[in-house]
Amino acid sequence: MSGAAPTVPAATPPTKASAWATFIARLAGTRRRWVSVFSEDHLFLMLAVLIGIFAGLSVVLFRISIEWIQLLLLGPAVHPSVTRVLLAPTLAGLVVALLVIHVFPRVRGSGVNQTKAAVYVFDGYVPFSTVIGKFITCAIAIGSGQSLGPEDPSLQIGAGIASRLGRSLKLSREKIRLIAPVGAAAGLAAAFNAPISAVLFVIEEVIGNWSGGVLGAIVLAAVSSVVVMRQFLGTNALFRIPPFRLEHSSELLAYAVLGIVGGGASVLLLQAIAGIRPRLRRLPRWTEYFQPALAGLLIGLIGIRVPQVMGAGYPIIDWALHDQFTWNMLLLLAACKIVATSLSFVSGTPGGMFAPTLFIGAMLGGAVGGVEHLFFHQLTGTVGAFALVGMGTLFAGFLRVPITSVFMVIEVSGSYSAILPVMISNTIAYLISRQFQQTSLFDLLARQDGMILPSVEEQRERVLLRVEDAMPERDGAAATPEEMFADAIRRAGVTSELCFLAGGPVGWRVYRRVTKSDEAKADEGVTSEASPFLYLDLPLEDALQIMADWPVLPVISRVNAQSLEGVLAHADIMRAFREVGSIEPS
Amino acid sequence: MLLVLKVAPVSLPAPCERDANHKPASRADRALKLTMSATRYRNSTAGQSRELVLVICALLLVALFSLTGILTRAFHKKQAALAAEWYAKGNVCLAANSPREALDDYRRALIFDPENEPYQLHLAQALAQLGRQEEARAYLLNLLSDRPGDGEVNFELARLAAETGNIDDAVRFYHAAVYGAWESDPVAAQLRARLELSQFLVRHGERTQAEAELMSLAANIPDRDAQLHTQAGDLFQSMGDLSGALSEYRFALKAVPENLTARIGAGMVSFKLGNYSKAIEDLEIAAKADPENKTVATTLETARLAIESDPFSPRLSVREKAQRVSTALSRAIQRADQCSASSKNANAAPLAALAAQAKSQRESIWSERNLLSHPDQLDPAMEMVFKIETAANQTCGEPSSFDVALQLIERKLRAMQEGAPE
Repeated sequence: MSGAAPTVPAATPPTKASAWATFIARLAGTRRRWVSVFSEDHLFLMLAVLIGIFAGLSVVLFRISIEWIQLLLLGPAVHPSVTRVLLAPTLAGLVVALLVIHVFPRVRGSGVNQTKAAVYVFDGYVPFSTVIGKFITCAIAIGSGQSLGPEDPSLQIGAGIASRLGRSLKLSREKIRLIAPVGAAAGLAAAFNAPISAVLFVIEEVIGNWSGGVLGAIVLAAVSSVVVMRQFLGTNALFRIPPFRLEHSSELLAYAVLGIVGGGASVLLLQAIAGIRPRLRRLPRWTEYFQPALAGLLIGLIGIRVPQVMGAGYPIIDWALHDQFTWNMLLLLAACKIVATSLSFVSGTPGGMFAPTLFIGAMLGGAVGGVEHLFFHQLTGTVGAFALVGMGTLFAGFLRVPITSVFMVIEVSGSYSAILPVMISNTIAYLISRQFQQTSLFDLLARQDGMILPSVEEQRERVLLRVEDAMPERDGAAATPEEMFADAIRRAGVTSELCFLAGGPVGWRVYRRVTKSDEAKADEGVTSEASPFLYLDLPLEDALQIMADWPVLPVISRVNAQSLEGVLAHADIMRAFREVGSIEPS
Repeated sequence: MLLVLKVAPVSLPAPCERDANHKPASRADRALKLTMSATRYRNSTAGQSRELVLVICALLLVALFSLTGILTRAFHKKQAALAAEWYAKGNVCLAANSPREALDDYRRALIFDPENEPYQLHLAQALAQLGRQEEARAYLLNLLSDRPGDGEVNFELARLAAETGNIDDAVRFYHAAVYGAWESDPVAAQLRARLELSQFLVRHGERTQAEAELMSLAANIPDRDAQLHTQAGDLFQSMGDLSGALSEYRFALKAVPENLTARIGAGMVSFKLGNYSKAIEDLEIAAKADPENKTVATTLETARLAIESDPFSPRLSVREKAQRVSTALSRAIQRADQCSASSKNANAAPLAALAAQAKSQRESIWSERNLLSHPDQLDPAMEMVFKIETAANQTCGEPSSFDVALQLIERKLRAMQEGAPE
């Protein structure tokens, strides 16, 4: 084995160009590894944080703009001069109308519905011009004293930013559709300084279910937007709440009365919007130039005597929470705010209904509390405590978000002590509102705008059919597996080839009589297949999916897989759906 | 195509659809345009990489953060300036005893700076001055939840509770104020709180508690604080603790000899204690400083008469004693005559009988000359004077200074007879 040793090539010093090439190659390799590890799900979660930050910053700017415009137009005094009170909302109304008609036509309507439309209709697309339009028009409208709030626009600003970012990052269609609610939660959380309520609202009203795929992103976006907002505007809750006391459980009755009154007021406000808005929309198009201005003028006229109703009214809510008004003043404020808010909203002025709802609820709650104190001196709850509960009550009754309303009160008050009165009052108001006004506010607005969006409330309250509801009742004595199977086969309209089914250690199998063409494959003229099975509590939609092409399937017990509870035929499922009418298009 | 199909339901006529002439297709067109723009956008951004978009986002974030920071700072500055301006206006109004205007100003200040605790405290004070206790209480309780140990907040709450007569709450909040934290001059503030607590307890007849608080207060008042010593003296006096009151007045006078209130207090307390010479000393100074003060003048005159007319003063000669008894008897008879003549009271007759008896005795054994020679009649004569004065007090109106002096002499004599300390 002799021979020259293999020569090792001499190491040559790397040139500048080759070093760069190596670096770029490594970089590309890193990117490829990064891309392979970093799935779209991860990107979606990271994007949620980014959306939250952008939404938080935008909401901060939005709130500052409103305050600044308010200072500019109405001045810093508690009681602005008559000239300012009349001119500011009127002229601002004209400007807003011009902007809405000629520059930002898509800013009309509810931000919640537009976000829902993005999810269900437009593949997550919310035009960015809507974000700019909402920002400008709502800041002018609310700052000038129109009786509207900044939360709904904030929600839509968040949704618009999310949609824009999602599209820019070329997310899949599935993710893009879900991105608007993520931004909506971020915007709402920053506007309310209440992340839990924002998450719950989006789940309760926009998405309608606790989808694991989007929940994490919504929470991340809400939290990051609130963190950003607090960085600039402080960590304080929206309202400063005095200590809440409930010394005797019989006092809950007093809050139940508040629930009844709140429910009534919700119905009143809903029907005012349901009645007036379509009428105004039927007016000739040229009137749209003047409707916000006219609403502004009328609000200004109210504002001469009751300036508290102008704008979002958060400081006034704070005063009510601190017992700063007598019950008759509170009642007057509630009544004037209902009128002013209805005027602003039906006139097509862009802005939200959350803040006015809280305002009316607080005033009404305080008034009910004040009147109750006149008759029952031993009530320990202050007028401020009733105002606090009243906020949640109207939120539940008017916006029809019962769970969000409870958590909203807890979050803005920073205390759980009011939980029982809030739950009682909110539930009563919600039930009354449901009873006397079938369609919720958001569904109503969507239908008035010509869209039929999925109603989350209807989804929530739809009767869920289960296997046990479809399975026909049988005579217990005659219910042997063979008889049940025979019955099911007959109902399914299959007579010849299916034979019987049996359980056992290997699971459930369906035995099939073999036809002539399949005889070669069969053993003694019978073939068997492992079949899926159903449980009694399984929803019928799921059962239908499992059933696929099987005409009948066994229904077994969850505690004993060998025990046959019955046999369900495809026809049984269809009959059950037909009976409740849920296969009819809504 | 799929997208177009999806927007088809949007164009369906809704229950609240506008009338047929009013652009029925416009909404559907808009929806269609929206969908088309969604599609166009998707195509137009197809060339951009995610990395590039993320880099642009990062740059945008930096820019937006900076812009928000600058605007927020400017806005907060403006808010703070406005808040301070309205707060100052409120303070001026509150000082000028215009709580209604002050209330509006403080409210405005709080709109710009809602968490400012001094603003909230002043708002509560303005509300309390307007008599809106419940509203003030709500604000203060809110403040208290943030600062439970704050002396000033507790003090204001105690005052509100005191005004509404809620003894338990008032005592609780006063105590919290006494032991609470104060931002400026905590010792004086705590003493002020304890003084108010003592005053409140005295007003509500909580004597035992008030005494304890007063003792504690008196022990802690700095020597130089004449005003607080005087106030403590007043409280001791109102509780009937004359020695304690005198001691506090003396402390006050030691710190500020010109303190008229303390001087008057010391004179009055000395007078009540029967120490007429000390009373005269103090009251003379007080009368010089405040010649218009009728109470001081009357008390001074009475004190002087009580000394000058007392026949039981030690080291008096029999002549002087006889003279004083004779003068007292004449004054008593004169008062009884005037009183029985003017009064239709049922007691007038016994008073007249006593006067007649005194007159007949004065003619015989209680003449000044007889008393001089029979000093054993001095005491019976004075007893008659005391009887007439007592009866006249029940029948007639206000006694003169001399009559009061005679009563004081009687009280002093009885005390000596009972062996009670003077």
